[in-house]
Amino acid sequence: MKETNQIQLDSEFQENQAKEIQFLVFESANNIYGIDILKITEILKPVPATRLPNAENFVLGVINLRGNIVPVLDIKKILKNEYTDLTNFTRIVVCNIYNKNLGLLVERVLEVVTLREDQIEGGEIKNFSENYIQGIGRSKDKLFLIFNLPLLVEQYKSKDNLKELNYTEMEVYDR
Amino acid sequence: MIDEKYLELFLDEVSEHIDDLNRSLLELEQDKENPEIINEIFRVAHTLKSSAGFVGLEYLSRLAHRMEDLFQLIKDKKIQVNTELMNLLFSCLDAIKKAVANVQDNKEEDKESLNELVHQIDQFVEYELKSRPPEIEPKKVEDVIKKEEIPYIEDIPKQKIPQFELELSEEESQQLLKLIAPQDHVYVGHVFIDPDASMKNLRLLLIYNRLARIASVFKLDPTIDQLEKNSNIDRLNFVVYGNISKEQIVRLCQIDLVEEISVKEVELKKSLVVDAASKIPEKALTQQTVTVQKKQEKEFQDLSENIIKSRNIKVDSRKIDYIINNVGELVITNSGLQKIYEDLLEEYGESQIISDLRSKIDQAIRIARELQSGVMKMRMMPIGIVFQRFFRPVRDLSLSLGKKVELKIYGEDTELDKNIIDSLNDPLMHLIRNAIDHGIEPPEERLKKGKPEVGTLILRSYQSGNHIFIEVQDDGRGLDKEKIYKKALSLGFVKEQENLTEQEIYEFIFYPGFSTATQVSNVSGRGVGMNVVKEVINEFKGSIKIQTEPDKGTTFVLMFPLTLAIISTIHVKIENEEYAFPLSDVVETIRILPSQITKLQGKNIINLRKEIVPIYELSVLMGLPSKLNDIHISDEESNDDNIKNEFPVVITSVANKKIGFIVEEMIGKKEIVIKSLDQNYKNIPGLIGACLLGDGSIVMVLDVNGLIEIATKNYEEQISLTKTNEEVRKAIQNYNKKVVELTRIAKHTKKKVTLSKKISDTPLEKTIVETKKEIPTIQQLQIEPVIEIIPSYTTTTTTSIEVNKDVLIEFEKDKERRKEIGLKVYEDEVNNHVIAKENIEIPAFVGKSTDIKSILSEKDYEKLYSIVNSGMVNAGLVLSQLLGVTIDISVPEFKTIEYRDIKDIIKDVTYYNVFLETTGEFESLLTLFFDEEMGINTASELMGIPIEQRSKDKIDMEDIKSVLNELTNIVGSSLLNEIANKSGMAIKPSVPEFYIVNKNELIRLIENKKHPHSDEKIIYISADFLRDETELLGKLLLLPSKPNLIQLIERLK
Repeated sequence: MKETNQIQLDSEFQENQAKEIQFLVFESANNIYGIDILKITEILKPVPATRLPNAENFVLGVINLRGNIVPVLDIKKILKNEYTDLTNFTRIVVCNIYNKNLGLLVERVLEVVTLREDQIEGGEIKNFSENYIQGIGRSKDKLFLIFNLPLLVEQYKSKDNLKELNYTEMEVYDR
Repeated sequence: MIDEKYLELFLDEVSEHIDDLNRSLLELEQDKENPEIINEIFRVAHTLKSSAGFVGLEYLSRLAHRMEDLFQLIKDKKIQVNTELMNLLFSCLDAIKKAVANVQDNKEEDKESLNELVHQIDQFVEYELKSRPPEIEPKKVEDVIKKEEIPYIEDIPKQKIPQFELELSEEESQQLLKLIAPQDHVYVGHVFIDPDASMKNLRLLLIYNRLARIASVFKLDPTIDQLEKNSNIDRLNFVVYGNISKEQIVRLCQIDLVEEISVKEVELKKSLVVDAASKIPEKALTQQTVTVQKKQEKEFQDLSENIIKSRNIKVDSRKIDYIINNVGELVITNSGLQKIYEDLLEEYGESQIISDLRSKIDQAIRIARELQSGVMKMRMMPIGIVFQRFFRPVRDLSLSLGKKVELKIYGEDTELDKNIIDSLNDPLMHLIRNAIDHGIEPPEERLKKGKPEVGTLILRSYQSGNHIFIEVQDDGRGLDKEKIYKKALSLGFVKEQENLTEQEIYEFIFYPGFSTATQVSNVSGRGVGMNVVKEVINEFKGSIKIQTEPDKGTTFVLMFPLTLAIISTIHVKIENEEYAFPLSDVVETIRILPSQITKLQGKNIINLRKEIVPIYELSVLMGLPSKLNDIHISDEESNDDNIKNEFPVVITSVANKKIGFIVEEMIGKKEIVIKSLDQNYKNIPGLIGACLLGDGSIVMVLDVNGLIEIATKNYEEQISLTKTNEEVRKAIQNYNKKVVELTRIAKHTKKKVTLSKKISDTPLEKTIVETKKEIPTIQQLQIEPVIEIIPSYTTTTTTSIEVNKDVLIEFEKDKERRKEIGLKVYEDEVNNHVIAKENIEIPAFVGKSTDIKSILSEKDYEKLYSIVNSGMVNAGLVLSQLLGVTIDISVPEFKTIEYRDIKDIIKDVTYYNVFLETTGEFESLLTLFFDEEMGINTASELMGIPIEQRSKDKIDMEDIKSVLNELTNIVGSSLLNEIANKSGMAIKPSVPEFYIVNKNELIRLIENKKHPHSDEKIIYISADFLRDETELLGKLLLLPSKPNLIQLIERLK
């Protein structure tokens, strides 16, 4: 199957070029996830954080990022209800979404994977908090779950503003 | 065409002119004969004419000119203001606005429409004048030319403002007669200064002074006093007498910017005789003077008052922003300075210099604060600017909607930050629009309801506490709660069963897409505006409340915090967390005993000088557990009413009500920069934001209002959050602890070297180095190579480990945990990825003997190096443990050399040298030597002997010997241990032997022991024993004989 597609791929190369998405793939809560790299502004090693009172339990606290107060959310807490244990591989991935900067505490950053649109699929999703998975990315033998960042932001946004949500809900269907 | 710089100035000025015109026209409409307003408009038109002409906007200038002339006629009562004229004038104003907009957009002047209006004015004037016989023939006069020549399209005859001169009363004449000498002449004159000149009064004073010097001034109008106070007086009338000629007087009066001088000689008789007027105008001008009564004097006064509008300078607001930024930085830097001062004080104690520093820092802080407050005030502008702009729209809107509305404004002087003021325009416009469109009923309906026909719309602003309030109030229908609720339901904003408060229902109108207007008019009903209002309010951290009553009216109350970027705060501590109260909210801080708290209606209160003040625990409000229960509250139980049980309470005041917050500790006052939380997260109730301290740490800034809300309305909810908060608190404490640990380890990592193989799990027992009893500790410690303990931060040249029991235990635990979870990934990475991808870094300083290079591969070198490294690291660890202080051992130099090179390494000095031989499967000689001074220093350092007492005679050689022996033992054993581990050989070190030798002796000793060949390969290590930053350099030589170095390396796995 791959061979026949090869020729097509070559000729459609130019076309497909435009539809590629790059994901930063990381490991957390014993699973591998990906985030659209365009949303990521930087990755840093953990720095001391200050508790944010009366915030959700997955908000570890806030950090001072060059004068900006950026919240740090513990991915593992969101997905598995356990706090991330710090190792030398733990990183804070700072994302920018809806013009807000937020930091995600991930256990380990792995690599950057480039996918074409057709390599992203929805699927029957069990065992995870469905809401946070936007789809599945497949690349060669790599498989990762695409993390639904906008939803995360929605979760804690103030009720004052009702903005149009900007993500497409992947259809969950039987494969 | 137009000079950029002037254009900007013009645009600045002209917007003010337009505002003035706007307002004046509206006023004129209400009061058509008011001379003040007429004058005002005249003046504005005049200035506009010049400005426009100056920047080359000929057609605009022409229009302004026409308007000016028109108003001149009005002033002269030749034309009366009627509705037609008003409409014409409004059209002119609109045209002017449009023309300005064109300029801003870099478009050409709209010659047609401007000319059209000019034409219309001409027609109007013609018509009006025809229908009324003119009283006076308007004279043709040449224009008064100002300093800057402005060419006009046409020269239009312009009438000058009529002048007046002093009249001498009978009494005064008689007085004067008595005063004058026979040869004296009496003159009456006046001087008229260009109204646009600066410091007019000073110029006039100058003239007066000059006159006074050569003549006697009998009468002066305005008086000197008036002249000194009022800078806008542009004319001076005088009566002087003296032996002087008229020409002299005229000459005296000829100073810069004087437009007209008129002097008359007067003959004093019973009555005033007007001499042949001999005027010498400053510029070519002939005019008949007309004596006018006091009325014009008053007019003049009013005019001057109107002219004195503001002594403001226009400054680009970006310049101010720039300054504010820098002032902010200054304040933060000051607190950094403060911190350094405190550190210095701690380290060096009190001294004169430090006190001087203190007072200078205080000064700097004080000045910075002044700067800051001054600069902040610069940006504050009276809200009147915005309010004023609404008169016209209200007028237009009410006309177009068929309603009668009167706008009233209060509190124009309330000052707000410019940013907010600029952004308020749209939201206020919207609210006003809504009020007029939906709120206020049509006149008939109002009458039916018994309300006055004309509806009232009020814009009100005032300051209260730390906030600025802006209200938009109408006396119309009020909001229809039912209608809103239904609409919200239909739009899906709410579900049927939900119970909502009134406020919540009203809040729906701010949702996007919401509008209960049944008809969408051009003006409103599209449902877009209201949520824009909300957005602007949110942007400035304000809030909006709705008060409404059916048929009575609606009031929108906007509230904005006065918090400027930098504020003073009072810092407190609870449970090791720091929080800040804005100083403006804090009234006082007190300390109370538990017994002083009593309960009133279930709430905790205290009696503060006869005032009942409710108090709350800040900890609870911030999600921490309550401590109050630990403190005895009831009188009977507490016997410990002593100081120890006192705790601090911060008393705050909001809307004149006092509230107290219990805290654990008072920290003090600080200056901080508020950062918004909403920017990246959301607003947290109880906080107005966070702030950054000088050292970069984050402190939450409290919102007293919000705290009160939580305490009074949402207390139960808050309590329910305690568990979550505790959870997070523990998590973040762990997190922070680990972060500190990891950064500390990372900090001492200088270069990364990767492991060349999988970490051996062989238990230490197998290859433990057998040692003599003198060093029992090694066996007991069961030192594992540090490599295993710290994953990716693999061993390096320097590793410093502060020996700390907890740390060691952590290390152990860590290892176990990892094994459990089975981070195979980590091991894989270490094995495959990292090595495959990265280049193995060989520390730059690793010297290679050229011969060896061909024999040993890179990989072998690595192996060797890592062993040496780990050995040294271990040694450091052990030493540290033994001595109870941190010892670092670093390896600045590591080589494999040939024996013959040894001569270069060993210098011709006295050495303290220790030998260590090994037997067993690995035969070798290890020697550690220091030159004398270094040896003494090292030994002393390790013994903890202070520098002053380190001389050869003061220290016992036995001590030095045993210490250096011990050192060699430890270092040697560690190294050998490592080798043993990696090669699987059993190694037995001997007892160390101490020698004091010179170069030759040392070499001879070595040769005696080992008989090495000259080309035999040996290892040379230059080791640096670091204790508290003191470097102690020693040299190590390892001569492997059986197996030799190469074989040894081969055996290393």
